[in-house]
Amino acid sequence: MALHGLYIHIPFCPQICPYCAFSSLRGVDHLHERYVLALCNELCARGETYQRNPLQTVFFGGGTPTQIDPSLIGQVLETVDRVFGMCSDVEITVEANPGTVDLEKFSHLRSVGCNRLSLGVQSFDNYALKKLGRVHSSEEAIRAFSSAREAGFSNVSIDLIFSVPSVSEPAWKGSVDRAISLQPEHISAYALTIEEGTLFAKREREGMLVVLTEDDDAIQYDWTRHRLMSAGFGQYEVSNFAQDGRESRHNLGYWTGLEYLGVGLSAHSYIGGERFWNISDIESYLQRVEGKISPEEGRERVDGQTARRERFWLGLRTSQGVLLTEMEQEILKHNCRMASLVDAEFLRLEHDRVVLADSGWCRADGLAVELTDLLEQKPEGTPNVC
Amino acid sequence: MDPSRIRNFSIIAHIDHGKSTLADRLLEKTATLTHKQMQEQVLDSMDLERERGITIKAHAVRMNYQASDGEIYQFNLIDTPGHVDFTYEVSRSLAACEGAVLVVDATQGVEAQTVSNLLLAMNNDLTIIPVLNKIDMPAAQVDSVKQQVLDLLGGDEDEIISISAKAGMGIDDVLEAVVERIPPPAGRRESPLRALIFDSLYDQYRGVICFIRVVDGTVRKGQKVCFFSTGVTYDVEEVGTLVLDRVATPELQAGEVGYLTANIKELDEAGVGDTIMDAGEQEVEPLPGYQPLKAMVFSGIYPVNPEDYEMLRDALERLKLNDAAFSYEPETSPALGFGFRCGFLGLLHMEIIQERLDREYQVEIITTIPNVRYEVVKKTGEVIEVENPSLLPPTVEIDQVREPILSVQILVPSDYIGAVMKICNDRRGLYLNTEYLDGSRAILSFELPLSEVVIDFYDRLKSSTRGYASFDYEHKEMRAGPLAKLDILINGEPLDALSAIIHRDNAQVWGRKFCLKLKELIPRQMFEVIIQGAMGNKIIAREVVRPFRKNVIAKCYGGDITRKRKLLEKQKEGKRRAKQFGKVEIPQEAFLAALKMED
Repeated sequence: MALHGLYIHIPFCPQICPYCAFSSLRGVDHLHERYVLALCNELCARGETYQRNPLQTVFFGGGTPTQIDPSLIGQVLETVDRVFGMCSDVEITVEANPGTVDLEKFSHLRSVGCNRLSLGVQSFDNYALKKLGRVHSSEEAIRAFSSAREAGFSNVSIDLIFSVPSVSEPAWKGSVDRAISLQPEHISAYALTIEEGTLFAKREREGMLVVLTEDDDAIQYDWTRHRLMSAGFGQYEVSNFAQDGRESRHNLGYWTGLEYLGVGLSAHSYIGGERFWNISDIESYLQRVEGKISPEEGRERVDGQTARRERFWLGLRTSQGVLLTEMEQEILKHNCRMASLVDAEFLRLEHDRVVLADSGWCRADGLAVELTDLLEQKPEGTPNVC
Repeated sequence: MDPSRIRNFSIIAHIDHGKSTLADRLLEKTATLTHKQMQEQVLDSMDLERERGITIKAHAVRMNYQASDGEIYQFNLIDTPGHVDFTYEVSRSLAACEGAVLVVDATQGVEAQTVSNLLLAMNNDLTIIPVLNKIDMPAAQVDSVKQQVLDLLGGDEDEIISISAKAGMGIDDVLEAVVERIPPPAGRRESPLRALIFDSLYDQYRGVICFIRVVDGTVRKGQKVCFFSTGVTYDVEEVGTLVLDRVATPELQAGEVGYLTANIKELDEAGVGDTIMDAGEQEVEPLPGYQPLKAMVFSGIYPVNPEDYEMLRDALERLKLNDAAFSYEPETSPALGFGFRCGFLGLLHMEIIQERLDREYQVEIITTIPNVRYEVVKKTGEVIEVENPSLLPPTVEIDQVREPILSVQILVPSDYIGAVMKICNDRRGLYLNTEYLDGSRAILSFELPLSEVVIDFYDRLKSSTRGYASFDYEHKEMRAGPLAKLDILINGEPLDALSAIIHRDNAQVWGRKFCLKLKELIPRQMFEVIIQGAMGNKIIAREVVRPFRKNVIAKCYGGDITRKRKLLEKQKEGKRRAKQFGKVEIPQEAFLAALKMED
């Protein structure tokens, strides 16, 4: 298999968001150059280990990639091009925080080769933005969007977060409608998830933060899905919606088992049937790379059973669903549990694929587990009452 | 060995009173073990036993002791289980002995188990050596506990030996007392062979190994012997003594304890309690055997994966080889498929079997709610035994249902009499009387339905008396009562494995609590789970487990697939021990819900 995508982690942030579980750092802006140099060195070292083929996608994620100077992004891209090369239609995405950008920065990013923007708006409601600890206002987000357009970005995604405690349903709906009205090519709508190690997790433990009930969360999710679809955005993944042909090729790679390399702090890779990931401490990362030592923290081989589970657990998240082997098709066609899941409009069997049906999207994980569970039972071991 | 220098004895004690520690010290003092071989509590050789601190299977070990009279004596120590579930095994160990060392914890005093084991020993005409253990503990109440022992045994205070097994104090006195007080075996060496099988186990290379006590005559390698109850003849392959491991010897003579192998393929052929005699010998009177063992508690054991049925059957078969008290027979449940109805001595015994299946045989099983054996008198006059509540005939066919009643003795400090009364009342107990042992302790007698004792009684008794109460029971009779079957319906379909036979007066309350407990134990899933309790056609309780409304994580962080996978693997793990029932899944814990209900 050829390397499909490259993920580059930029951990620097203007402020740490209370819900964010990514590696992110504040107040270490003096490290930008040193870090980018380390990234380039890691890329070169990886290039010696892995097959060098032109990449389909490059993704700068964070942290806040727009916290560093666009020329540094350019420096990384030059290295990428030198080490791996990039396809002529390569998708190069940069995550951007509306509070850290202006027309000049966007133009600069364009000029170094970035062709897709993922704008971390999160909400167009200023109360919600405050709750989420964002540095920007709704107005700044709208200005950022038009600057991006002005700078020539013709492929822009808007990130939104729903199910934020104490944010009203009308406020959320207003945010979605505002996003639609800006006519981006892509919208990601994520349910707020309380991750271990975040400020939100701490507040929840202390009883200071009361998350939405499962029912309310589901209601917002279902409303959002239908609203976006009726506005012409196709749902191609649990949290991702795009106008035709504007799906994120990079993210799709994750769901469909394509190979990707991740460089930088705590970045994850999947190459040659192995998953590995980098350490998450900035000092150790810099020292290791500068000392020509691999910054890898861990590595695991994906065995046959795990690979199959991943195929279902990831693939089912997408609108294409999971491509089934003939044996899997046979089992699913005649399985009673499967029949009930189809009856309930959770799943659909489309000759060689299993895909989420309308009521399945909000239960995708549970369904993926069901599927692997029933496929892992030995054939004679299914005394199911139909 | 001259029979006059043989001593066969057991140690009897309440659980935790220090029996195994004393056994260790005896082995050490008689140099049966080098210090290096010395493991804590060597007699408990199964891992499970060591973990739980209880001896489950009886074992025997030989020691050579040079007494103060200069002679070498052969001691055969036959270990006994200490838990109330295992009374039967105690009695069969005792039948191979002439004496017993009665260990009483000086910090705890006499307990119900002490009394019942002592009675067993006395019924076997054993000589009792009373020993007071843990006298070096600050909480030891030497004088008052000595008085308790004297009240029980009579005799002289001087006869009670004070020791600390842990610290090694007083061990020599115990060894000397074994020589002096316990009579040597009385058998005649020149008589025809009579040997008692007091235990047996199955060894995959040697076949059945019989642990025997030779009462009369001699048994040696190559001899033709006959087992009284089966009449089958065998060539003795090997005899030997038990010194931790088996050590082959040319012969075993009257009075000796050891083992015998004879290419016996099935444990059933060598029934515990059977008499081994010379082949062709007609005139010999068999030794008094044992009462056939009756299981008290029953439950269904089913493989989680139906294809493991054969594996489960093999495992049960092998467990049975080593455990005469355990019984099983195939049964079928519409909900659970093919499995086995198993009989146990009590709940602890059941838990141990469950754990052994899991650990030693790696079979994933579903165990159903334990219940007792009922006698149903049908209107036709026919009497049937029901060990599985779901098989209770329809109400219209039933004249009466009888359940086993125990007579129960509870020994408790006077302060807790009220608490004990309450527990027994709540469980349909019939109070008989109170007998004061001394000013501060009393024995309360009750009649209690076994079904009420099976579930959680012991734990509750212990917790509401701060651990002071101890209890003992024996079967009294089968007694008719207003008993009826509660069925549990899952999404409208009866789940036979959850049926229970309960007292009509408690049915409403119990049914509601049971359904509520099930609701707690059945996790949310893709489909709604409606739990109903029904008596006949009448629904008396209803609970609903709502289905997942949303079950998907929003984001897989930057290609970090391992994190998502761990979350889903956890979900999947939850299904491992669940049983599919129609569209929904019932986890193992739900099948034991009745054990977890609060009073």
